[in-house]
Amino acid sequence: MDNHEVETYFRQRRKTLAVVFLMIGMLAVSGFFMGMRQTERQVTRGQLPAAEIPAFTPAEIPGAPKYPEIATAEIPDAPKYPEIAATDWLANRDWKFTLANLPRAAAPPADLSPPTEEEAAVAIERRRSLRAYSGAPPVVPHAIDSLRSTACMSCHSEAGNLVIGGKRPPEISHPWITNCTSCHVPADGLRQLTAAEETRLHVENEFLGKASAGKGSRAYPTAPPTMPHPVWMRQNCMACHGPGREQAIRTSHPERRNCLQCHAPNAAFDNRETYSTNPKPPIDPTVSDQP
Amino acid sequence: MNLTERRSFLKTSALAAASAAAAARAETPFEASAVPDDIAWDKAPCRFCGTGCHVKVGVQDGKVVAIAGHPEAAVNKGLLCVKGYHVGGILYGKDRLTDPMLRRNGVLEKITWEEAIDIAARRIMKNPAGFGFYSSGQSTIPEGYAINKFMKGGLSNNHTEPNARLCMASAVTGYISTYGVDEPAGCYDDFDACNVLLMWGNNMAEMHPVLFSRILDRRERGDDVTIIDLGTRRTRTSEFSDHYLEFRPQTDLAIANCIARQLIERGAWDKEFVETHCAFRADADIEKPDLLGVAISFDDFKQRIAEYTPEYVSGLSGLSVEQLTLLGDLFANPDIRITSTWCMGMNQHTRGTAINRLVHGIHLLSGHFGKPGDAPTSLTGQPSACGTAREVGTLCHTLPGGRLVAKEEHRGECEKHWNLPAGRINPTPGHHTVLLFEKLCTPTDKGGDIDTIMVQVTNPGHTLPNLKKLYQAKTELEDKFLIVSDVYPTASTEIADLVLPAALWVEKSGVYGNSERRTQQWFKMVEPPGQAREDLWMTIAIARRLFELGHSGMKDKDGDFIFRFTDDAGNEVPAWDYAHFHDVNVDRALYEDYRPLTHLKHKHVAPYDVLSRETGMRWPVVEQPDGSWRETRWRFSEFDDPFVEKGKGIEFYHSTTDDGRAQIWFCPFERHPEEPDDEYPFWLCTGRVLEHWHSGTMTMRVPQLRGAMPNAYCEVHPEDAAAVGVGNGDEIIISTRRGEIALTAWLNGRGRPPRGTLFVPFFDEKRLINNITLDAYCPISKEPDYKKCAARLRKA
Repeated sequence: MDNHEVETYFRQRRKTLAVVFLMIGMLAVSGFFMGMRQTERQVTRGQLPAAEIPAFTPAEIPGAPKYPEIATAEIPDAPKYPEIAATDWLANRDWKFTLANLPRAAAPPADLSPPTEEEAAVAIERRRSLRAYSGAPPVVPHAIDSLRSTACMSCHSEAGNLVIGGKRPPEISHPWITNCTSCHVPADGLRQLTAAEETRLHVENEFLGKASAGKGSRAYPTAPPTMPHPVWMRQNCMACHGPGREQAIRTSHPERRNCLQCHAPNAAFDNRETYSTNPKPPIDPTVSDQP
Repeated sequence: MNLTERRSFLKTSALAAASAAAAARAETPFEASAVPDDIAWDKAPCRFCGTGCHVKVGVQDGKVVAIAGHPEAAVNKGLLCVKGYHVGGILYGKDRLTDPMLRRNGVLEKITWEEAIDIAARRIMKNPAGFGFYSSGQSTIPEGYAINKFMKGGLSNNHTEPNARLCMASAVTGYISTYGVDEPAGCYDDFDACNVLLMWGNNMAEMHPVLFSRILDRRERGDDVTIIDLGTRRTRTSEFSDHYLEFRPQTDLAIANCIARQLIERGAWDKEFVETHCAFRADADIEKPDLLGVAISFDDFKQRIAEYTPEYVSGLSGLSVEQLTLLGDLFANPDIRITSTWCMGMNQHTRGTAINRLVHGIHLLSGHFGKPGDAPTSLTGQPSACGTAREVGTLCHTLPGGRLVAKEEHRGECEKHWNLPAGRINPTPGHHTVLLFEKLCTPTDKGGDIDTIMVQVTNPGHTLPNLKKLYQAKTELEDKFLIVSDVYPTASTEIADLVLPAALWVEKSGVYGNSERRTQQWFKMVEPPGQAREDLWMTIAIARRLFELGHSGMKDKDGDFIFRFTDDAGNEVPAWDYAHFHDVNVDRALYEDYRPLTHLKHKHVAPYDVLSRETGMRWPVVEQPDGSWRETRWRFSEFDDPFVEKGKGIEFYHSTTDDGRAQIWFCPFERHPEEPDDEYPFWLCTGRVLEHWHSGTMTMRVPQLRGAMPNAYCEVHPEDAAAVGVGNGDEIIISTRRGEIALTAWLNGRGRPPRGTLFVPFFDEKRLINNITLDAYCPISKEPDYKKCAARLRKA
């Protein structure tokens, strides 16, 4: 059978072959997933090293980043009571499914009436309580993974649209910075570990930071308010002003994303030094130095 | 153009202190702008680590109320770490020291400044040779310069040491024995250009987080950068790294040698670079190593390094042969740029000088040097360890600008500059830090020749090793006297006889020098609380009191007081009188007096008035024909360093062998003096945490930082914990040959030590781990090893 005959053979039986390949493909795919199922033996096998166990897999969220598939066999069971003392607290099946099944934040209500003064005051106080001053990185009001930052974004990204304890976790306003814990530290870090309060150094502090940026100004009642705070580190406006955020500062028109088009920051917030007027000399390594 | 012609471009005329009295503030074109909420913003370097982040300080109604990053600042590009964002809070702890206090019958009682200065001066007057001045890598450049002039030029006394002896001394000896001159050739721009960042025992994610983020951000953007953590315990840095190579403590020496050996074995060393720019060197007698060693041939080097095969070193270090080969592959690849960083892991080492030399050596041997991204760079822990301790030279053997007290020529230059009679400066180096405090704590009749120490801007009662021996023992000795200037009560003030309340950070003006040779200046922004005053003023006031008491050293050749400041009209300003201290910019006058002294070693720092307009400049800063000032990013490289002779490409113009060559050292792997044994089976490592800065004096007063990290703990491997029957949060006792301490066990916590290793942070004054650390030090740098000693563990 020469080449020509081979080609003719396959051309004639194209439809049949397509069905055959489809079946093989389906078998392969289902076999792959069957193979990943946890057997009884695997379930009782115990734990794997921490490095092999991702913290969790979130449920399918439109637009969410894709996480690698995890074979369920790799997720250990929660330890039994007698085993607790000797167990590393790793991700387990229950934990995984609980986090993944958390409800998603609902769409913002259609009614966006402005908050009352009291509501606004409560919102501002809640915000202030987590910051040393307006512009300071907020402290973290919950326990964190002390070693890694990787878990932070599962809740604090746009995709991490969860509701935990009735609240939507704040979204990161400067997503290009990845070392979260270098600025955001738990407010009450080692409490679960430490001895009594009186064994600590405890000194009151009288630092009084500026509490709130306050309101922007309006030229006339329906004019767009100016921006009352600097933009730096808050480039993602929707992190604070987007749907699902505090109503006190939530935008009434989230569909318009070019915020600075109408809301101008005061030039005085451009908090840069005035450099000397001397031209900076060339320091391009490829340029020969000619002083 | 040759070197001499080059130098002729430089402005060499010294600006005498006497004529430098004009207030720089008035000449500054930039003014603090008022934003709509009435906050006035001004610039300052961050008060904490050696990164030298540029912070914007917001002041309202005379108080600091906000801190911001500055997006165009070259060091931090608008980012700060959690300490930096909360640095304003350090000024407002409720227990600020506000009055001078003298200990009478065991109790500190308030006294006046006049009394305090008089008491200090009379203690010194009684025995000038038995006085020691212990300052800091947080002292400003003018503070350090004044201390140096007061002690070495005034009292003819070299017992002046900075706490930088405890953190940077091994880096200094590493640089000097390799290049002949201190401080890194590269700079932070290397982090923007390197393909590989290799961290040697350096938990950068917590200790220099802003620099670490600079690398992470690049990787996040998709740049080709591989991050390698070479460490002894798993940390946040390891988690961000592409490779985590865990080695046994002390075997970094063998690992570095293994890399060198692989380069030679494979013929992958940079032959042209080495033949043109390097020479080989080793200690003459390994039992008595010294700074300069002796020349060896390449063949000798090759022979000595031969035993460090990957297989042999794998057995020593615990790294696999593959991991060691990975390191060899990296350095053997000339097409990538490698930046090495290190901090306390390599410096606080009983072979600190050796490991510093070896890391420089593999960069030189492989030619990974002198190009952007190719650099071995030490990071400093304090904001002016470089600027003050190293450049001004507050160590017991140094004089300003890289000069040595032992060199007659150098002494002569300083005496001339300070207008002192010839022979005023004592040629014998003083006691290094450990020895200084050992002498204080030793009875006078048993050779304890130090009877009074003045401490400024540091907390030796917390940070010296083996504290019972080196600090607390002083309380037994009636005739010894300790003067401590600080901002809060500390472990140091606890036993001090005279406590002086100091101004802190933006409560005073200052100049700092960071890790990358960047000099940064700031102005006073708020008033210090109560009677707190500038450390600089204290030094000048004590000197003046000694002058009045008739100490001849406080006079220059013409009989004038050694700290003479004049106003625009040339009239002397009595700066020792606090009412007149701010009549002139004393900072500017002292800095400009110091500046010409930096030229000897080509460390030309920028003029004060230029710095006042800049976010810092990296020396050597040279004036251009157009009158502008140009900083240098890469030293010894022709394309950027104006002092390299044209055509040479690379020139080590302060070579220890006077031939433009750097030294590639061979230093053998040697065992630690206190390795774990049956009795004390654990390695005990101490260090820092992100939220606290060193002894926590400042950061423990900030609620956000204290809340995140309220006390010290001990990281234990879960299996080691199980073996002694403790779980997470249980009380444990750690003991060494020097004592024991109770701590909380933390399993699988922020850091994860391997089996057989314990880690304890040192910030917590209620749990002083330094009570039990080892006071063994590097024989060359005299820097103690806080990272390794033998310990045991039991349940409380």
